[in-house]
Amino acid sequence: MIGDDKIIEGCKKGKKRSQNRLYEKYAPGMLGVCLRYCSNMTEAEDVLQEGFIKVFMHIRNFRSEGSFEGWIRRIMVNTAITYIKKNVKYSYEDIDNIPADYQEEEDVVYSPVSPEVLIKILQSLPDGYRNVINLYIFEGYAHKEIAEILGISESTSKSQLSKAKKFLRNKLEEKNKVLTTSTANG
Amino acid sequence: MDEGFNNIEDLLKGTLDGYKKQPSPKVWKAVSLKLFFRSSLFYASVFILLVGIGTGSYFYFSVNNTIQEVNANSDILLKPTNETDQLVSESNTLKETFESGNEEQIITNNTKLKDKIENNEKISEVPPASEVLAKTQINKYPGLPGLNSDDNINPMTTIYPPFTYGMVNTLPEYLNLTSAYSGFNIVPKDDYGRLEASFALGAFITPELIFLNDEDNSKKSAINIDVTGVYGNNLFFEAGIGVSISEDDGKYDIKYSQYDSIGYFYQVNSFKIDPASGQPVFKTTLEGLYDTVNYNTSETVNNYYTYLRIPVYAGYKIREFKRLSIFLKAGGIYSILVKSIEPGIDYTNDNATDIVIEDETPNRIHSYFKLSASLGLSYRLSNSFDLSVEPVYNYYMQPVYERRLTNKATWSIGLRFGLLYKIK
Repeated sequence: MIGDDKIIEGCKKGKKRSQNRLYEKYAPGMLGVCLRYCSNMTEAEDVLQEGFIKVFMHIRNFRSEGSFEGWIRRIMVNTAITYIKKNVKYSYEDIDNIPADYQEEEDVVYSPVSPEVLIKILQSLPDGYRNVINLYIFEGYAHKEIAEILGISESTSKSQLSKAKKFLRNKLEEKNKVLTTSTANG
Repeated sequence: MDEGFNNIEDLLKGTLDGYKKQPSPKVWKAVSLKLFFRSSLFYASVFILLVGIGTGSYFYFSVNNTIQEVNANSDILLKPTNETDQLVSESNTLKETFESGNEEQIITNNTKLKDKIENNEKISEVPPASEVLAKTQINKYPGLPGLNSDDNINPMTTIYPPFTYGMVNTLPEYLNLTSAYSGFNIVPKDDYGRLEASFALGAFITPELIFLNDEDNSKKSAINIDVTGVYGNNLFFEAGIGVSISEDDGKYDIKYSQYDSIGYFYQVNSFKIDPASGQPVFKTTLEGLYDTVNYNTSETVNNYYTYLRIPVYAGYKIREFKRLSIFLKAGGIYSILVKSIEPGIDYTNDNATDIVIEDETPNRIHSYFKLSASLGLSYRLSNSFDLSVEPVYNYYMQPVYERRLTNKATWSIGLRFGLLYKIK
């Protein structure tokens, strides 16, 4: 098994075989990331393609100090956001008149859902909401950072997150995946 | 977490963090293709190709224009008139003077001839001399005896080239300036002094033996296929594009551990004293000794590399015998690696543990330039088709590998077979 260091070294030298190995290793995981940001598979594969081109074009700048997977992932996330801003009608339109100050109830249990189903639900969110939820939950950005990245206000970021959560909950309820604690207990 | 999640965030993170999905194969193909088109190698190859096409076009169109201009002028110039008859007579006088070696007389006669030409009304209608001079390119005559060589002036050719052009076919050989120097023209002239050149398309195949002179690889084979355009005649230019597929070894170093015998020893089970000798006699069994042993082996597979080739040559036809001609050719070939087929290996050994496969295949560089020279033979099959065979020698300006373990240069020999179709 060839280690990341050797693959990265090969990629820095422009070796096609190393590029292919790197792609084979990381593409499935990165497609998982892209699918969360995009509204369908075609878009996700477009982003994956653009992202990997950026990875190979800039791999010389990567220093082995941090996690390589983290570095690729950041590129994918940035590419996804840029792609959505550029190619998709970027929308923060209100969804289902959900109040902006929605708070999750504490006595709720969410049943496990398959990743494919959850991706589908996530993809049904408007792009703007999806970006906020991805950046907040998966990438761990604060609302202030999200506001800077997406060019929105901090309060918009917060309200989008609340609304997106409520939207997801509603979708999961439709699939009977949400139980209140009292129901769950009995 | 089968019991469920307490909030949306946990549900999303727990389910989708680390989620993987295999992308369709077209994604890698697109990435691979875009990387090639964004590479500097691509731009370098396009640049070289454009330079080649530009150079070829320049020669092609400039000569074409010259032929048209000269043909147009020759209609006027070759028309027999009393005046031209008279001037031919004068030129004969000039010939006699030239043969007598009387320099003073030569200059006088030249001046007289020039004056007569200047006073001739019909000839003065001809386009300005300087224009036609540039087009006909016949101003290389070093001058008649008695003229300063610095001037590089011949009143016959420089000042009155249209008239001279008309005369060249009627004047004696020593005054026929174009034929005297046709050997130095890029494009030769036909029986009427007109410029002629041909343009042909060629398809070539070249089996090649490459002497890599690397530590591990001595020589390997390759096959090249080119499509080129050949322009010119005695002196010609060739440029085109092609592919080269070369074979090489993929080398893999395999390290693994295996629980294996490392020797044996005699286990003493019992002993007794031999009453006769008083010495102990041991009863032993042979026991094997086992431990984890590290092994190292290597395997070789065939790798194939495809290069895009851009050959550019200049050549000269040195001899012609009826349908056969011999030519010399030299130039360069720029090669860009476009595809690598490296199948790799799968090492299977049920008893082995800790298998580590290291790819020891030397990395190939993405592009290289080689100088190429050949002595070729061409056979005219028909008016349109030529067959050519060229033994080729190539000298690699760079090694094909990134590493360099020897100072010996890489070179190759090949035999280039081609079929040329003459377009004009």
